[in-house]
Amino acid sequence: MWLRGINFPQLTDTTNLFFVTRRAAGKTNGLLLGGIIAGVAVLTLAGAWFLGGFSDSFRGIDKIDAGSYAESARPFQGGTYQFEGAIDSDLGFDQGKGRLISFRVSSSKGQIFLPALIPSFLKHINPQKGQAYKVKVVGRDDGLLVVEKLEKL
Amino acid sequence: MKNRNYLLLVGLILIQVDQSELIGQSNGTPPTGGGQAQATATLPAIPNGGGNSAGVSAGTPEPTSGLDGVNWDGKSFKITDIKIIDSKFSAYLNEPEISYEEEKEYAKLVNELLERLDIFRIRSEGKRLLQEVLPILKAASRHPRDGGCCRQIYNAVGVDSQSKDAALTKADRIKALKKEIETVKWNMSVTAKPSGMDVKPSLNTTASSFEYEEAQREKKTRLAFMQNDLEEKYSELLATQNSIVSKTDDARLALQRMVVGNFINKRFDHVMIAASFYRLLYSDGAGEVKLQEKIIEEAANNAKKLRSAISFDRNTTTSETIGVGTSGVYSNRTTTKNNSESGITSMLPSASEALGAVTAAKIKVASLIPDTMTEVEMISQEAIDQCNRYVSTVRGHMAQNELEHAFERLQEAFAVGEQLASIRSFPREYKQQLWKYKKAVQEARAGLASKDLGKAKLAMDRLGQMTTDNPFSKEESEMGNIKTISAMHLAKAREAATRGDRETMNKELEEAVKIWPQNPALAEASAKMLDQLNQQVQGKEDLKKLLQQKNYKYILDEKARFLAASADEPALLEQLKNVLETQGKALAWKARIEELLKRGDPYGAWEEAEKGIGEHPENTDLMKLRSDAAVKCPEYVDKIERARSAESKDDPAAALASYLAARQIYPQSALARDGIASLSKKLLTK
Repeated sequence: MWLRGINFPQLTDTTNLFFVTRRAAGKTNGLLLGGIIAGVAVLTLAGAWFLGGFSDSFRGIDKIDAGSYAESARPFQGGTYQFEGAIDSDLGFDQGKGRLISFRVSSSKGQIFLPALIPSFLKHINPQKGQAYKVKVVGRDDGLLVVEKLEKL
Repeated sequence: MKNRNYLLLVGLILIQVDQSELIGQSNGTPPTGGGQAQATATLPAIPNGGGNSAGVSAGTPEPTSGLDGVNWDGKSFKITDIKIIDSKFSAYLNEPEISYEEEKEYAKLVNELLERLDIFRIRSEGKRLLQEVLPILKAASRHPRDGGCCRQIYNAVGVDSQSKDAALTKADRIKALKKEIETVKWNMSVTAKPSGMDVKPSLNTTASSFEYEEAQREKKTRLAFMQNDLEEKYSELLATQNSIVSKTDDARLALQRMVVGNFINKRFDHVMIAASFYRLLYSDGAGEVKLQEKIIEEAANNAKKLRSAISFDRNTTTSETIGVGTSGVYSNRTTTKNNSESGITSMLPSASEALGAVTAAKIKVASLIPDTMTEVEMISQEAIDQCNRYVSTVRGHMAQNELEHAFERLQEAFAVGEQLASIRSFPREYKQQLWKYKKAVQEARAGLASKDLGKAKLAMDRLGQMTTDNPFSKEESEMGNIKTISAMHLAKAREAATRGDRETMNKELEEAVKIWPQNPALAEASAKMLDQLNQQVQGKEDLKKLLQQKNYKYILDEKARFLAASADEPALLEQLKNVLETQGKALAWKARIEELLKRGDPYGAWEEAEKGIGEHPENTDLMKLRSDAAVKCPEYVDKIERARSAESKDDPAAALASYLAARQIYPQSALARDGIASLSKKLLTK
């Protein structure tokens, strides 16, 4: 089911090339070879995608269980999570540490407010209240989520 | 002279009292005086006759109401037992009214006697006047009003007549005796003269000498007999003469006694009658009264009675000298007899003491008897006049409803002339009116003496209705002062009781009791104060227990009682004040929470309750309100509690998440705001 989302924008041209080559070299051998090459290519692309190819930083990151976090944050220390949420409020700023932000996240238990620290190195990001982001976070020792990446949705 | 008369009258009153006291003492009755003096010592000034003390000139006796003795000419005549005078006067006021007709009839007889015994008629008619006045005297003596006074005078006159009759008989005997004496004397002179018949002595013959001596001896014997006879006659003559003098003196003295006795008994009418008879019977009627000496002599003899010597000297010494002279043998015998007593003591000491007291009293009486009959009469007449004037004054005061003055004047008149017709016939209705007045005065005085001001006031009010010259006007104002002072002490005691100051309360109560022991408010106030004090002790115990139980709500509800109870215990009071202060703040919390709930803000109410409980963790009211609020906003409460729980588990991130959720529910939440702020800071600084 998840394969539905995969796009192969140049595959149509390649397939056409395969069928042209088969007609040119022999109809049977050409077609077989073309099919094999195409299959290998497909398998290569799929493997590359599965192995983190194509530069997608959120790929393979667990979505955070916001409800559980609100009950106890300590178990989330050291883990990397992602979630999508809107900026709720600015909770404070520290020159060295960064900005503490609260995100409003939807969950099965309703809206949950997750505090997250946007480190100083992400100072180019200027979150505004109400803006929706896709956020990659890492759990700190004390359970506080530290943003690693933000993507505006 | 007038002053002396006053003194004598006053003296008479005092003597009667003293004599009564003397009788009381000899009967073993202790004197009862002093009780009243003691009672009045602590009283506010009680008038003893304002009318008198006000306008009395110097040198005039001040009998006042007879209650405190008599002051005269700077001297104080103390009557220690006023009961005698007072009881006599009380009896007088209550005795049945004597018939006017009876009094008038008797007074008519007395006046008739006095008129007929006029001095000029006595001079002109002499003893013939007796025939005229004796029947009247006899009639008066039989009158029921007389009481034996005229009868005694009548008898004394009779004794005088008898003695004079006897004297006439004895005068005849004296005459005969004198004649007999002359005869004896003549005989003796004849016998003593030598005559030719006498035997002559001769030295030559012994017989002749012997006869001469015999004759001489016989002559001496005859003369001796005659001398004896003469001595007997002389003795009889002297005895008879003395007898006449003695009898006459006795009769005269009896009448003098009558005069003085009536004078002492203040029967001045009878003094005048007896004195007039005395003047009629004896030529020294206006002369010196001899009774003084007689009384003193009799008193002295009485005092000597029952006394005996403890040693006697009855020695008889006889010396005799015998010799021979020219007239023959002679003998000279001298006998000396001693008859002396020494160391005289009483045989019955107590009886002698009584007699001594009687002697002293008699001498005292004697010293007050006027020297002359004229003086006795004059004083008596003055007393009669004075009483008549007083009675007239009493009637005047009664007419003007001035009972105080009327009472005093009548008492004074009674003290001087209780036996006089004017006093005896004083209308009974007036006397009864005065008796009622006296009772009211006594009640008022008793009330003042016992400091029963209520009783005194009632009596004074009654007096105010009875008389226009209420003698207690000054006391009434003093009573007002006493009441005020007593009320002040009571108020102070109450205040002290409120403070729990038992010592001051007792002191003030004692002062209140001292100044007005019968204060009706006293008992009730004392009971209340003691009750209050007991309540205070109980209050302290309760407070300590409640503080221990931390039942501050009850303490707050009963704060007035506990403040009063702990007033005298600073540590407890301080503790109570702290509790009240905090409970006061809790009340403010409560009010705020209730207001928020009323306005439909359960979140705010819950928050306030939380804060209030933070300050007053024992306050159940706040707890209840918090519960009430929590029911209305369970989600919010859950978030806050989760946040707190996370905080307590050192999970600031989770706590912050819960606070943020809580803020989402109740944006005004101060708890969330504060939590968020503090946790954010904490997380940022880590």
